[in-house]
Amino acid sequence: MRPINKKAAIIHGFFLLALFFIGSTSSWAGDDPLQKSLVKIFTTVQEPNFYEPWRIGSQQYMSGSGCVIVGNRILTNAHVVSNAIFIEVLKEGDSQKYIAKREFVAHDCDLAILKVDDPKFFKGTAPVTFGDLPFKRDKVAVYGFPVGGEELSITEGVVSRIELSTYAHSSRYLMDVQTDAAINPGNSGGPVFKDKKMIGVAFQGYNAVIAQNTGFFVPMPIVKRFLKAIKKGSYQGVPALGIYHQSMENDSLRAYYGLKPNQTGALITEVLYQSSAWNKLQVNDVLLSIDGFKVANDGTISFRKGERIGFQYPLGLHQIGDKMKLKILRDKKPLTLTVTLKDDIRLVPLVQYDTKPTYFIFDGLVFTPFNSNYPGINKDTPPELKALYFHGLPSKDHKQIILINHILSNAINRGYDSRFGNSIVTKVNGHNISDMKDLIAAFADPKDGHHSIEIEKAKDAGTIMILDAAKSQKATEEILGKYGVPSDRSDDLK
Amino acid sequence: MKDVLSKTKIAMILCLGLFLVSCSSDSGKTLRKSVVKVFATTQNVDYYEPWKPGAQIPLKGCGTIISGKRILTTAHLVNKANYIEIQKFGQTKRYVAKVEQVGFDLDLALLTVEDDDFFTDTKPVEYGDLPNPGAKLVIQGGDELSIKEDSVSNMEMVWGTEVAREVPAILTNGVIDAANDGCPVFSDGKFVGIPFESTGKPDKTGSIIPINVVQRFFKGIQNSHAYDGFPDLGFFTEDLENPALRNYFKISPKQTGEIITKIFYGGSADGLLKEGDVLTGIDGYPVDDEGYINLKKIGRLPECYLATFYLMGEKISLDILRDGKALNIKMPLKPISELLTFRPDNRHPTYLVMAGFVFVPLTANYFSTTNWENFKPELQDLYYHGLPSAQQKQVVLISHVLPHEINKGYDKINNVIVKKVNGVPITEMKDLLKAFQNPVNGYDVIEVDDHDWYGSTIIVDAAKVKKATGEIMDIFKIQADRSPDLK
Repeated sequence: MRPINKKAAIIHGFFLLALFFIGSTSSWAGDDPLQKSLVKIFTTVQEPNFYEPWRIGSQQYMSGSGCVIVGNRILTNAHVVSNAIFIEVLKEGDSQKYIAKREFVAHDCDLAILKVDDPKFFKGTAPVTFGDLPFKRDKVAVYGFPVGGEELSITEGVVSRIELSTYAHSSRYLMDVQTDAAINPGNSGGPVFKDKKMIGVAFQGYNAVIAQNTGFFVPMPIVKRFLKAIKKGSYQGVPALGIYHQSMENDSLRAYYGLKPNQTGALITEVLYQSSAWNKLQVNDVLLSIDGFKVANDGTISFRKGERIGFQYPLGLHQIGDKMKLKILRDKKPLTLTVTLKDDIRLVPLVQYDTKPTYFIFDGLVFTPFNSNYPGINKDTPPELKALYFHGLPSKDHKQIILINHILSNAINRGYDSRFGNSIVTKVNGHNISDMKDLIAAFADPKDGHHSIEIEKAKDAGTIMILDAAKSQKATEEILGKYGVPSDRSDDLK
Repeated sequence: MKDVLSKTKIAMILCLGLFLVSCSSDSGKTLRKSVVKVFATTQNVDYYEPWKPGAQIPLKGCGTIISGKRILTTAHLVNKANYIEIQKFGQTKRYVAKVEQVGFDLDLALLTVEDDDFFTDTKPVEYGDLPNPGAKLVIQGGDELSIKEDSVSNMEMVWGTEVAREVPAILTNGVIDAANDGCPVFSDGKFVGIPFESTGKPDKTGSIIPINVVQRFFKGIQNSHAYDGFPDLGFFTEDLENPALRNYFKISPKQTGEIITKIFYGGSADGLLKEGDVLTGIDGYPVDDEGYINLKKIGRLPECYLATFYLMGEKISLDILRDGKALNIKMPLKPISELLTFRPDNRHPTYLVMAGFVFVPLTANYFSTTNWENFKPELQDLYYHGLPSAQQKQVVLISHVLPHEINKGYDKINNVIVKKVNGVPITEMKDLLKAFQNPVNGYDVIEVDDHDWYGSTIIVDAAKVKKATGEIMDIFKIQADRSPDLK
């Protein structure tokens, strides 16, 4: 049970709370000292083009919120400044925008730190004081610059729910807090206060068609882990265990795996290649406890008295490289293991930000690794790719899925038309293709003057493409020229 | 599932629109002696709860009187019918009719009438030749006997929505819709085909099962032989346009053909052809680089067209190039080899209920049980690309779980593929029966392919299964724990 599938249901429902830019006016800060920490953020964003990866995407203007924290830093959401090429900040009550730079961006937990070189910016600001995780029905206030006007907006409500859920920006499954205080586009990155202390960063909400009065914020345990992670000077992600599991609510299931009546746990059904659990946990192990928390039959742990949360919760508090203690039942015998925590491992990487897309062009065939940006996971995604996105497991021979993204038509590839687009490459010149490096190496080794490319499941097109090796070099150059492609490969493959 | 209401509406509109035409037509008067109305009370099949009889739906269409006191109509009108009546035009009396033969993959059916009186003052149609492109067509039928004029565009392989297969059909220049179900199509006063429901054709065109395909159906039921479908070649091919690709497969510049890229398990080509063979000719016709053959009068058609006209077991001649050497193979033809079958006439869908788990084979029909988006991408992929193998002749699903204490904690499982039961790989529904006879240490162990929310291992106490299944059948009012074919 890994919740990435939940994303499908949620992705259309959630909206991220960055706001498309409309304009700004200045205002005076009131008496509320909390307002002195508030910052409005203006960004110019340039999205990468994953279909034609050598091209620069279109520009967009967006705005969000943020707050000043100790050390003359501004805390906001990662999605407010993702793919940003230019950022300006405006403190509450001021009329002058300052240029800001991204210091750290944590896409997985949707948090970012900005810095402003001009020290004048921080004059008159007051950093927020950090609070703790609230309880349900605690009264909270959300500060920010949402849609509906220009001035600072404050909304109030109570804490509705605390649980693990999918962060729309990253698809990671982490703790968040739900509130009925209005949270709207533009609130993104803004602080949430309880008793004058910051207890979270507003980041996502539901489309009103699906649910009303449901806003979400990143709670302090996640914020504090992020701030600790960046102390080393570079950001390392939120670790993941790298397992699939199922609940053990059925008596026969528990008896079969040898759980005593007073024992509870979750059954491990898959261990991902090279993840934290790889070579440590095994399929059919029963996870009894994690990081000192006893795992219940429904896969939850008790994190505070009377409050339960998914057993993945402690992972969101740790750093990569930390050790974590697990108690398991293997072949009906108890065992204690220590795993070293690693990053999230996936066959199909989650949505990429702030990176140039990887590509390689050979004889007009545009090869890219399949990631969540391309072809994009929506209702039109071919089901075989969707299945790999949701349930594909990485292995030694399959670290990435390499696609023929599309084909730049030319004499050398005639006959291989658009029906070959979006097909999965299995072999090139007889070599297995497990990542982009394999692909490039394989093309250096033609057989009998031919390049052969084997693809999977192009039912109505075919399964093999043959190209004349003697003409390849010239053809690729000609195609690059014709189609205005500056290079046959992305910088990371040079 | 058919939307009967909208069909009736369309029929009414069409009849109004065509009233004037029918009044002014003389030929209609003689032809109407060959056309009858068909009323069928059909019963749908519930693939989600297969033990339940589906809803009753009255359908209306027409039929054509042919020689031998038979009525030719469309299969989807009558193949699920519990009761059929026919009526001559201009008369009020209805006669009881029975289905004699169903051509499930051609959407054709033959009816008989017990009362011989029915045929007085009727005239069997005269069969015409395959009409040429541009030929004028007359479609006789509708709710009130109306006539619609149309013309032939060309012959193509089209995807039949009622048969889930590619069938040769004549495309027409005008719309033929559901109101014309089973109505005869005439050209120069002779019968040349029946309207056919298809997809993938251009807008505002219709399609017709032509006379040569109707005669193929008749050939399949000669000497009271039960119709057993038309065969399939059993392979996928790839076009041979790229010069390097042609070189690689040692094709001379003058030679044309297709590469055979996939041979279906258990299909006609299995064991006779090899992947990588190049098909250069079929039935004496050369195959071009896009997999088409050129037929006199009819035009260019995909190579699979020819197999449609063969009977099961008949041999078709294939010219192939294997490692550059020419070979002629006489290939006996077999039924289409499919992982997900489509049974338009399936009155008793296969199922097994055990401890509240509902096991069904994944069929094309099963996809009608809920919205397409509700099926996991793995299942959607099987719909498009699934091919059978020795290890997987059918996809066996747990479609859903009928909640009971015995399956506590598993009750949210739905649409998961069953891999193994008690260590035995499940290649088809039948395997389940044997596998459940040998529990592991007193437990039934069901392994499913589900990385989703609900896990991959199901364990139930084998000793409690029988009693629990009985209780579940009682609560959910299930008459039998399995379909008749599994008894």
